[in-house]
Amino acid sequence: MATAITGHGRVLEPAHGDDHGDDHGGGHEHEHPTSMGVNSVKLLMWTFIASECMLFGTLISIFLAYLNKGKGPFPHEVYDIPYTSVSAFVLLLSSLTMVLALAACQANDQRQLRIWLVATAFLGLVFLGGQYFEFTTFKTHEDVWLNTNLFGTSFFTLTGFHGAHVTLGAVWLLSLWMYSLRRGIPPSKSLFVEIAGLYWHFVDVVWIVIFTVVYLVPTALQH
Amino acid sequence: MSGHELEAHGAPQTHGPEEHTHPSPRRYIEIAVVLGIITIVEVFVLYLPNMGFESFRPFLVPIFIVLSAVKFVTVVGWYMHLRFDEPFFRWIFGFALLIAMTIATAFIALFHGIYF
Repeated sequence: MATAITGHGRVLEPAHGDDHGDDHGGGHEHEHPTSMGVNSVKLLMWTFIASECMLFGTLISIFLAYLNKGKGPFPHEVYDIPYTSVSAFVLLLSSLTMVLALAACQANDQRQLRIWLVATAFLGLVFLGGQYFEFTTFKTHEDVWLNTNLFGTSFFTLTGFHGAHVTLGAVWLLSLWMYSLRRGIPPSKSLFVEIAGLYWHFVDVVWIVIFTVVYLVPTALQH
Repeated sequence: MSGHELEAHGAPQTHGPEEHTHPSPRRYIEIAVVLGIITIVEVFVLYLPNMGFESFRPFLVPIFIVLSAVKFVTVVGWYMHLRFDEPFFRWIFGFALLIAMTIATAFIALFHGIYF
């Protein structure tokens, strides 16, 4: 068995498993020794997530900076917290289906993998549908839009950016699902699913913060 | 590497050169239940002052921040596997988080007249 030694002296050995053509066992196809001893694709994804973290951190900061400033309507006057909490729950549920997809891929259960992938994308689309309904309600019934006031501008910019990320994630997941239908995703390629999962969970984590900071806290402060 | 015993697929799920162990699907479901319960508690707590528990009002924001932090750490640690993965990834994410929180604190202090 071929082994390699990383820059930190770690011994890398291919994982054991069944071979499937280009499938070289249970380990990731793309994993290879690097000078830092970490997977380069994962490193890229975590670096991207770190940059996204700062982007959303800034957008949330701007929302908080303009909170209750300028003319109304203000957040607590337009929010429907029970409705938004259902949306938050749907996105949390999609994180569960995402990890179940990864677990199925690592167990080489292709049927379960496809089910959980499409379920995750579906829940993401349900969340987006909920967001569309919320946006249109704000615009038509509450008269709040991007150019209405400081709250409208900061709220729609922040949640709109998040919605765009969910859309991208749903497209990514559906692409993976179609790929799995055509060729299957063996355990050796589970990194494909894991990287998509990292992105999806990050989108979920951002919503956890938005739900608290943008929805719950302003409502609690004004009740 | 964690020492979690995994039973769902008959064997621990390992990947990568260092053989990181991921939790079982059953553990993932348990975590999702906990996350769902925390979300319900958040909404329930918000309406406590309206149900006659006015004394809860000053504690609402701290409670929300703590509950949100628990959800955040749980998803990042378990679902994103940060607690099982390379410590270097933790540093990358932690550093970005620190910058984001510093920006948020500075903005709030600047725009709402809070001076340290």
